[in-house]
Amino acid sequence: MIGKLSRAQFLARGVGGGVALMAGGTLLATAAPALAGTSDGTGPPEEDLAVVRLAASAELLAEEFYTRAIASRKIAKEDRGYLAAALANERDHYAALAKVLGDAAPIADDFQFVFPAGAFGSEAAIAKLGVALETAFVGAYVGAVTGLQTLELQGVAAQIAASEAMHLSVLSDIHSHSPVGPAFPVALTVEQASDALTPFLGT
Amino acid sequence: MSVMFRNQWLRRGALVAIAAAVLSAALVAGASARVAKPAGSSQLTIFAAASLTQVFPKIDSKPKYSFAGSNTLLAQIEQGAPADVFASANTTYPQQLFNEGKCEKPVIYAYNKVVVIVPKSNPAHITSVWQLQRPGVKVIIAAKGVPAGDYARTILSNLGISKAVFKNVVSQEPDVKSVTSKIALGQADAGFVYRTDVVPVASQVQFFTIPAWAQPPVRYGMCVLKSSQNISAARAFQARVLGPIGRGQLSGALFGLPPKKK
Repeated sequence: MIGKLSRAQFLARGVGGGVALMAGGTLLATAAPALAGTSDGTGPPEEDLAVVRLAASAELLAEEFYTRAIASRKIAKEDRGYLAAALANERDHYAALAKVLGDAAPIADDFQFVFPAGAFGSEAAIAKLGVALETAFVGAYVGAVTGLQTLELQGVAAQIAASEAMHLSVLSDIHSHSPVGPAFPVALTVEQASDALTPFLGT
Repeated sequence: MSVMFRNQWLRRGALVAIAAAVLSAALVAGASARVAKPAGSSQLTIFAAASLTQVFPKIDSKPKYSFAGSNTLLAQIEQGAPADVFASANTTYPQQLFNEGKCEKPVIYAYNKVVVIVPKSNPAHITSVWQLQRPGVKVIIAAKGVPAGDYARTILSNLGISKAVFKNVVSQEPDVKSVTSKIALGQADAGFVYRTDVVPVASQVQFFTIPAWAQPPVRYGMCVLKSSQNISAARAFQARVLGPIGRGQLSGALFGLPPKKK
């Protein structure tokens, strides 16, 4: 019999992959210093660093979104823990990406984040915005898996894509009770991802 | 003593007196040229980045301005060119002079943004910075070392498109105003300039913003030169730029502003 999964049940199954996620965290921690390059200038090519820079910027945007969403207290109490967990994920993502970029990593003060009017005025509005953002994040990372030239970064992109997909699932469930998305999420090029995120990153 | 002799004597005496006065005046003038002039007694010389050409005279019309690429001005100062204040389009050059002991502690007085401009007719149909990679697009950029050129190179690197775009670069200019002029005249398809450079040629160009995640911080730094013969006047000029008059004019010209000093 195929029953309807509650959000808690669906996500509980994901927790079983927590060991893999922790292993992914270790991979990020060990890969990042090597990827940051050596004194003779070797390291990821410029094109890969561009992807990492956009991704780090996207993570800062995500942090801002989840911080405001939680602070709004519009999200149902039973779901706030998921947003807090997502916020923690985004901070970890940013930290790992920033390590690759070193001193060149973007910081929150570089941006004047822009959200639509009323974006945090209700649970429905927050979920709608969250779905839009996480869809873009998933698309960017899925696109990065094949767009990146550095093998280690490809792996990191895949891990973060999986993490962002979980966030998308939660927000989709809050928004429309549809936690499971398309079979093949759209992969975005760096230009397409940039176009999708630029309206939220200010000028 | 005869009248004639007395007149000749008086005339000779007058001539001697006049000669002595002229000689004395020449000696004083020569001496003055070798000692520091009293503060405020002569016109200030301001070396300022080309992108400040329109706005600085509106802040203070009295100084003598020399506008050029900040790297050119730095080189002139290093070679001993007399200037009272150096206003750069970055913080690197004033900091260098400060580290060398040649100027007082630099201050940040403005921010800016880099944009892509195209001729009004946009013959290459450019709609974003990404399209500068297209083969055949003619791009103009300021030379390396010119702050606008360095910022543009950082942007291209941040976007991961340096190689493709540099294949299209047809000219590297000595200052950002040259880039602006050439694009306004339709001599290339696109160029990198400051947002503030668009204003004077708004009827001749279109512009596109750079994604925020690829923009480097563009901070303008200024310092009073220790070789200034008018240190107090130079400091007063700097204070004017940082004060309400300067901030108002800079803001009106679309420069960003640092937080007000408390």
